[in-house]
Amino acid sequence: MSTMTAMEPEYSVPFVAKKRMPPVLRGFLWAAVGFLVFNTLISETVPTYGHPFVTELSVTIGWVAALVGWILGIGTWEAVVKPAFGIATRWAPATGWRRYLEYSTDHKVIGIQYVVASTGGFFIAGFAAMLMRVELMKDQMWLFQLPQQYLTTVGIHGTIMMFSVGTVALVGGLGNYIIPLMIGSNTSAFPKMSGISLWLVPAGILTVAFSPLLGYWTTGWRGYQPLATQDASGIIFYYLGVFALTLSSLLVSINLTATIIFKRAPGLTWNRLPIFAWGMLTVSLLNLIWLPEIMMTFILSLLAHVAQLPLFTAVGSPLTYMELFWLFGHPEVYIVVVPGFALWQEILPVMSRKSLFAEKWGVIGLVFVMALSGMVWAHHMFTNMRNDEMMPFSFFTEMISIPTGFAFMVVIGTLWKSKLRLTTPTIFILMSMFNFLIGGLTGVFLADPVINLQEHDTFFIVGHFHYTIIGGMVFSWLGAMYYWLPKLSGRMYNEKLGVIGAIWVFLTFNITFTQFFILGMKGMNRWVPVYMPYLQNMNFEVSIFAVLLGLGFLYNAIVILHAWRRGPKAEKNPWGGKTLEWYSAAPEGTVNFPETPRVVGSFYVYGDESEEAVVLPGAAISQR
Amino acid sequence: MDSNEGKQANQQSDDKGDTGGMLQRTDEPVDWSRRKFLIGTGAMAIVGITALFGQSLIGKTIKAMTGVPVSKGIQDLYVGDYYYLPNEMVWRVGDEVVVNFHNLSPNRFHEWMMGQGFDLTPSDFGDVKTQFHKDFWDGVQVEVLEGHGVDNFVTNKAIIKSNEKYPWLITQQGQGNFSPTLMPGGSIRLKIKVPDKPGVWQYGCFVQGFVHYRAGMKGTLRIIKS
Repeated sequence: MSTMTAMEPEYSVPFVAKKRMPPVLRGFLWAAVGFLVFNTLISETVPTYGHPFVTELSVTIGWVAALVGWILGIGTWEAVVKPAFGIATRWAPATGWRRYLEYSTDHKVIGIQYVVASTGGFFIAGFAAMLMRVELMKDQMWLFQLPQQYLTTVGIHGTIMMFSVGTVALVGGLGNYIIPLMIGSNTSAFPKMSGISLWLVPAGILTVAFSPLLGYWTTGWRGYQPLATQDASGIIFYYLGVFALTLSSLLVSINLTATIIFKRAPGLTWNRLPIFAWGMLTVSLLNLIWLPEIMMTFILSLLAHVAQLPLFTAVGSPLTYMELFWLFGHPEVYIVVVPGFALWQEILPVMSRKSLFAEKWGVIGLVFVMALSGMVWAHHMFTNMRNDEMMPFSFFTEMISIPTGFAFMVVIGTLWKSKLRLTTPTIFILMSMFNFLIGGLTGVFLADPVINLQEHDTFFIVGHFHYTIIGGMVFSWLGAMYYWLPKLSGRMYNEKLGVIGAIWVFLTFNITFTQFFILGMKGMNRWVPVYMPYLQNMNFEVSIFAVLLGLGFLYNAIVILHAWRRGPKAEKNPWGGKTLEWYSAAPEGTVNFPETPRVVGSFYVYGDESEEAVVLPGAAISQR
Repeated sequence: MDSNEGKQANQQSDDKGDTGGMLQRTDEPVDWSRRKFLIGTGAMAIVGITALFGQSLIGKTIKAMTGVPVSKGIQDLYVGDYYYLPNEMVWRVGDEVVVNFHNLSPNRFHEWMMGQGFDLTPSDFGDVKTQFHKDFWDGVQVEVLEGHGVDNFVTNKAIIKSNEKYPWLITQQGQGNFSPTLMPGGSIRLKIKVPDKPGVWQYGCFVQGFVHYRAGMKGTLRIIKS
């Protein structure tokens, strides 16, 4: 290394920026090189009958090399690796829109990158959902030729939605952008790691999306063993893609936890910590507990496929995998919706100009949801259990509605006798509460073994979790995007277009997914592209509304994007929020707080006696 | 909590310690070519989507450009889950071919049928291709050289010649297409003189309720005139 360091030029000479290849293209190029080199190495040296160029083992190792190549090519080679070995490099980040398409350490850029990556995943997986719904318009196979193609599409839809949207969009996107601002910090705790973790998301999405190239897989987003062992090799790309996505979430969580613990501005005590930061902290802890568990499970499954280890067949039983999966799988639901709860409690006090009711109970609710989430997993397996085993899981599952209820009570108490401004974010949040209520109520039914055994693996379940996840998370995500749009872009959206967007998705969402409950109760099974003819009319109609729902999301994306670029200049603090992010004028690439702010009061006290919660030294107190 | 981020600024010197975790930046912005980016990613997207939704199309294009060599002598034909390797072969009429048919799957039985057209059975999932309508091996002289782990060998109307009485000559004429079915790891070696049946023939594995064929276990044999 020392010789290489000596060879580097001194920077007393003026630095001349080199023209480079677009980092995304270079990432792909290095990934391709990495794949070819390692794939060839493995397939040539590890004896396989017939010497095919791509074997399951070689594609696995090749993928890892490709991932490393991709991460290096995107800019970490100059910005992380060379400095780590003591080689002086100047890292010259691009400007303008280009900075979103390469490695960055600015938490605001990373936040936007995460939002965009998640949105991309959302629309890719949404397209898969549309293909499924089009197939289900008839009770026969017609769009897909093979059942495996349908099942693979279901799997791609679920996997990308859960691991690149549900888990990541709020935590990685808004968490990265808002949290450092909200706690008065200029950076997140580990900006370099954060910049790397982002680029795992597109890699993971593409890996899962292109899994059919290796063969169809039939397990859905849960990767069930030993079923997966019998699948063709596409399942390998499922495991690898999910590994990349979960690794990204894990790194985000480490970063956010450390940021919230160590980077708070003076005066920002735990009692004053904004509720969204509490939500992010809770979710990050959930991630830190459960993601390593599921990552190990997926690695074992990958080994079961690639190395033919009998982990889930000869030694274990099919239940082994189910226990391991759902031990993570149920907390995952709370990983998805807890940020949603936090957003309700963050946005509505601002919109209603009223102090947050029972703020501490809101925080306790979030923490208790986190604590209980790991005690309910077996309700996914009531059909595989003895009766006396069901009771505790049924009990804990219904228990979880209590801390969830805190979130509702806090928000309802806040709204009580308030002058609520019915802006687009407000409407989205109220819709999110309504939808999540339906998801929660049907969840209580499903926690009850009697009904669960009846509705198991029907569309009733599908309806239930789409109500909790789209209803709870996607709606509050949209609300948050509208709410923070002036902060993110400095521009304002068109209120009328926003409200139309909200009503559009709300109506089509509810018409689509209420019918899932009815379909389920009538006997429509999950995981089948072909069903009994008497269900066809309803499925046909559901598919039409599902497509309208998809267009509704597209509409909202376009409204937000248009406002981002062309919207009128927004006021600095259009909603009159008191949290710290509104005190920072920083667009991307600049420092959030040139002078460290000091927190002197609660962010959520409104009314006659309310005072500013933040003091900016040397500046006028009020920024409104 | 004391925080010293306040004094952080963009234009830091080379000293990495003071950047508060942020990387040093240079004043000169580096811009890469927008056109290169758009063309490059656009082309990759097109290739990717074509690969995803029209897999065979790309494979066919590449094969059309490179061509498949005519094979004679020993030809290895491997099967795995769920593919043939190769899945495209070219034989010339009159050549002598020794096919070494080998099942690589660790846990599944696979067979090798070859013919033209399909016998269809209607089902809820649409018509199922159960076997070939016209058997390639009809009247072809086949010499069995060697066999291990052969589960079932349907000879149909092929003229079988083998030096010994092999235990795998189980199923006789009238029980479906000519097809050796191999146990996991099994193999069979067949010697034939390519018959005068020029044209395009399909081969496939219909084991496990035709699931293997539906999962893509198929190939093409082209017989060219001598």
